[in-house]
Amino acid sequence: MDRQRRERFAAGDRSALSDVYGEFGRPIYSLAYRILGDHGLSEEVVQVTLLNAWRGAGRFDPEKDMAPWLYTIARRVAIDIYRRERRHPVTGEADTDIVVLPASLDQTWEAWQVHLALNEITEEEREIVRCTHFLGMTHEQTAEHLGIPVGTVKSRSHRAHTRLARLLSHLEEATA
Amino acid sequence: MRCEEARAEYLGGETSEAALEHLSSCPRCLAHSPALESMSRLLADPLFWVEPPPELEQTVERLIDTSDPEQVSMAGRRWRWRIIAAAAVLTVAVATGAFLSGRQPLPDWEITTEGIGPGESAVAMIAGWNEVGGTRVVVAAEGLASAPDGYTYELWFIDASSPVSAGTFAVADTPVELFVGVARRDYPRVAVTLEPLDGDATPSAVFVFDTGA
Repeated sequence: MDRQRRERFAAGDRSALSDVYGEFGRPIYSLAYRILGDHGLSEEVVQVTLLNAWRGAGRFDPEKDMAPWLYTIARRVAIDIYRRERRHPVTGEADTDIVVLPASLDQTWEAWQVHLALNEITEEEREIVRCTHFLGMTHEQTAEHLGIPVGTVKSRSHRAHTRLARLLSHLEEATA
Repeated sequence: MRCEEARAEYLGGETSEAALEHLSSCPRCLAHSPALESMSRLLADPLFWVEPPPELEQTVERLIDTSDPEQVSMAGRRWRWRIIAAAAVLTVAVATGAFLSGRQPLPDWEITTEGIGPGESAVAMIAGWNEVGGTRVVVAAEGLASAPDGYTYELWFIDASSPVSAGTFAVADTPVELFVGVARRDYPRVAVTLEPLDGDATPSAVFVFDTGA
């Protein structure tokens, strides 16, 4: 997110909210689902995270990157909800104040970074990446699935993966 | 071959001989190898591709619009009061359920959920007891308006493909005890809809409470 939009958000400009959702809604939801494994609770995480961020916008420094700030809020919210749910499980387990956090927490920062990298490619390219990795399709199968020529799939795939490889390097350097 | 090209081929899953050779001999690419592996693994992970529902953005915006920075703390207090009020109602509900069945008043599970759509200003607490042949449920709702003439509220247990009705109820009757012939572990989503009295065995599109999938 560019500095101008960060400044608008920090100043409480309501129109900046949809930009923030557009860039971070998916990563927050995915992070939440990774921890909670529940769609309804993941929606709650997105809502509470963005509400808390909005409430704390005045304390956000627009000179800084918004991603680590939002990640910290989202992770905290997801853990709180995880603890709440584990204390009141649907499975009939006994209530307890000691809640072991899920192992999937370790991967959330990594996944967050990859989501941010995916934000930088177009929706068409994203669809190719999804078909390749998530659905395990070949270029030919992807072409048939999306109804576009194989050559288009290949060029989009090349462009998308080149950008992902480049962005990943940048992200690694930025967080090193 | 350039580093970026080789890494892109690797990520794309169609790595040529030249790219493989580059990746195994270039010191910079070797240093990036764990990150590439990790990215590739994440991209193939189904958890990575879960998508928020399209209406979530509007829900977030509505939430923020109704709780501007100066009013949020008050809204939070109101929300907590509603939960406290609903909790009090549930206490009665649980006691009622226990009284009706003669069981210990500890439910096997319970949910507190905020209303949506026409039930937006309401809170429900739903408690369940696992029993032979199904689940006994007590529903307590706070702030839910009475159903209009010709309509009723209906509680549903929903799995990935099908809803099962636990019965209809009127606000005036809550806390109300219902029974459904399925287990919550198989039907994890619990929802309440506003239903026209038309005998249709499927849920209407008007949800007032929904725990989600």
